[in-house]
Amino acid sequence: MTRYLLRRLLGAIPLVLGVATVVFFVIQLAPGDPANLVLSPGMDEAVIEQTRENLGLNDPLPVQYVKWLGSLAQGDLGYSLNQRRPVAAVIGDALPNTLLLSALALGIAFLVGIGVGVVQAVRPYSVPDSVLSVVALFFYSMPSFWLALMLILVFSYLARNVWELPIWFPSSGIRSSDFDLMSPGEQLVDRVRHMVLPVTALWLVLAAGVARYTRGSLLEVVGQDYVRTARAKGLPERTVILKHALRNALIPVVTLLGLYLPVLFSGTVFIETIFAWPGMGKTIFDAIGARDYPVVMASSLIFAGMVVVGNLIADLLYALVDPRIRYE
Amino acid sequence: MSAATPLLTVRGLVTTFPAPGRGKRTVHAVNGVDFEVRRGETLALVGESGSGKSTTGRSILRLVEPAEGQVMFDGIDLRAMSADQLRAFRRRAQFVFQDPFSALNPRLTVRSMLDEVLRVHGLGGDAAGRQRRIEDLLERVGMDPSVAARYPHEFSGGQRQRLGIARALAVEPELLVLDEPVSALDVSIQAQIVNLLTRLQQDEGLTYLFIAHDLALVEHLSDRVAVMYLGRIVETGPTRGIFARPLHPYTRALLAAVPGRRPVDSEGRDLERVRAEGEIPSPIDLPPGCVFHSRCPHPHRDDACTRQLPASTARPDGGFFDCVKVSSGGGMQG
Ligand SMILES: Nc1ncnc2c1ncn2[C@@H]1O[C@H](COP(=O)(O)OP(=O)(O)OP(=O)(O)O)[C@@H](O)[C@H]1O
Ligand SMILES: [Mg+2]
Repeated sequence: MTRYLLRRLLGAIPLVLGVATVVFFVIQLAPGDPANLVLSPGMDEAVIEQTRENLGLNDPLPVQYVKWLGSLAQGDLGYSLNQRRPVAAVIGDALPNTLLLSALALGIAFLVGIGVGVVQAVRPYSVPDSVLSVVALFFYSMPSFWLALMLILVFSYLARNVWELPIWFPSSGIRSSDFDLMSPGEQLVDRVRHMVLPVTALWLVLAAGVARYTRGSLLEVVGQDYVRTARAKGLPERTVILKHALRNALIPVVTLLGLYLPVLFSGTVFIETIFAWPGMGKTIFDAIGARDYPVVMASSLIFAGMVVVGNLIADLLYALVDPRIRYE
Repeated sequence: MSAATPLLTVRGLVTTFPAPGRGKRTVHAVNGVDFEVRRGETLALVGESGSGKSTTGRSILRLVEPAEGQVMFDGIDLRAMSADQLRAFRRRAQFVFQDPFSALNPRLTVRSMLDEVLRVHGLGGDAAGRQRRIEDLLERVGMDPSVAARYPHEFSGGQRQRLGIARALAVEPELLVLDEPVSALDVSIQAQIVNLLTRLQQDEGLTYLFIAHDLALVEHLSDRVAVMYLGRIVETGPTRGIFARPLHPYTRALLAAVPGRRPVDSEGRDLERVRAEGEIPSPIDLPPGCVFHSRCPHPHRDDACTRQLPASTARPDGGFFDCVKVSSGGGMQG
């Protein structure tokens, strides 16, 4: 087991490096000069040239690449040209926000999705099943950024300004400007209110997929003889469905976790940008716009790393729920 | 109840399913079935694929809900039972499935699978008592008690079928419905399982409803036979009688299809092979009349066969058959 883990993690290193390498060269193709970021507009040509020299931007690309690899090997992620602080500090601020957003979205997506799938599969082709199928298909086919804009329109703008409802949700940031003046209880409520819309924009799309998958998988399992066996044993129907059928139906659903992580992370790039959520997605988006190469590189590495670790977790879960699978 | 009263009596059993696709059509999987099973005997239910054997077996134990008819078990009307009564009844009759690979929950070890049955029915007492009972069950089906910690995928088909039988035996039932318990297994393994079933019946006085389409096996193992076609029992009687003198054209066609059997007529004269051509019709739009008329090889088949369901005629050996073109002596009727 430990050996398997080690092998998987070591095996992931070339993959993550490969991703970073591709990103490194692709980003050089884009127009724009990082040196302009560091300096105020209208600077003397000689100063710009000197800055380029200092930043190492005049070195040939392969040299820059090797240098970057070298410092990475020493654990040095570099220095953000745009934010003027170490990249590690930038990431250190952004990563927890993204993890919070993604973990919540993923958790809710699986809880709701599995719940809906079970309700559908217990009475297939009934009215509730068909209605839920249509709703799920609707959200499944929605791009999450469009959904985000609609959520803002309805639950933030219309609810607050037009319908003047008592409940509405903020459309940007992670806390209000007067956060520091609030009591701890109010602070918690404020944080939660800021999370509602971005988390919803992410989980709705994922939950729709989970529901469709759970329904299909459960319907298949319910036709298996061991579910009839469970009934023949004299077990209550609840136990038959929840213990015998659902636990087996969830085995393939667990694999969705691995599939959804990349979807989720690319989703956060849009969602964090739209909701001004200071996470990794917004960070990489801003950094690309600003030609902040060190931040782009480091963020890509982190995203690739998260996908790899997420997939590893999905595989381990798979072994946990399916006794037929053992990793050596 | 006296020993003469059958353990199980089925009268007019009908089980339907909604036909796949749109519309309100129904599949008549079981369409008016009567039979009884006496204590300690084996009744074989035979017929080709799709004739409704499994559905009959499942309907009896209410693993699917019958639409009509009466199922009496030891004088109790099973169809009138509430869900709670039904769960308690599961102690007395159990089911063994055809496919040993799909019948065992892949996520339960042998121990938890058996322990669950014992706990639900309050059998075996405390944990230690149940453990002893699990070991005993495994030994009764010829498995080593040390396998209790394993998962189903670690066993071969034959071993899994033994586990399925152990599971069914856990509640010490009186009746076992065996749905083609050996047809998914290799021939050599089949013999072992059949021997196990025979031994269990002798030792424990079990009653079997044995669903099969291997007629050689049926001849070897059953006391009586019921031949099923398109949701109906077309002929029934003692095994020896049915095999020696099949009367219904479908039974004769079935027996003639057994390799190595010499088809004879009811007087023991050699017969050219009777064959039922084509496929079993769809049980969705049932034709009126005899269920078998569309494939019947009987030379005198006519309008009478298509107009109405044939009534049952008694066989000399106490069985019945449903054909208007054959007399109980075996001769033809015009
Ligand atoms: N759950 C179901 N839904 C719809 N139709 C069904 C269902 N179960 C069985 N049927 C139909 O009922 C008919 C009888 O099926 P059944 O499984 O009882 O036959 P069988 O005699 O056991 O066949 P086999 O030898 O293949 O096991 C078939 O036409 C089958 O398609
Ligand atoms: Mg069957």
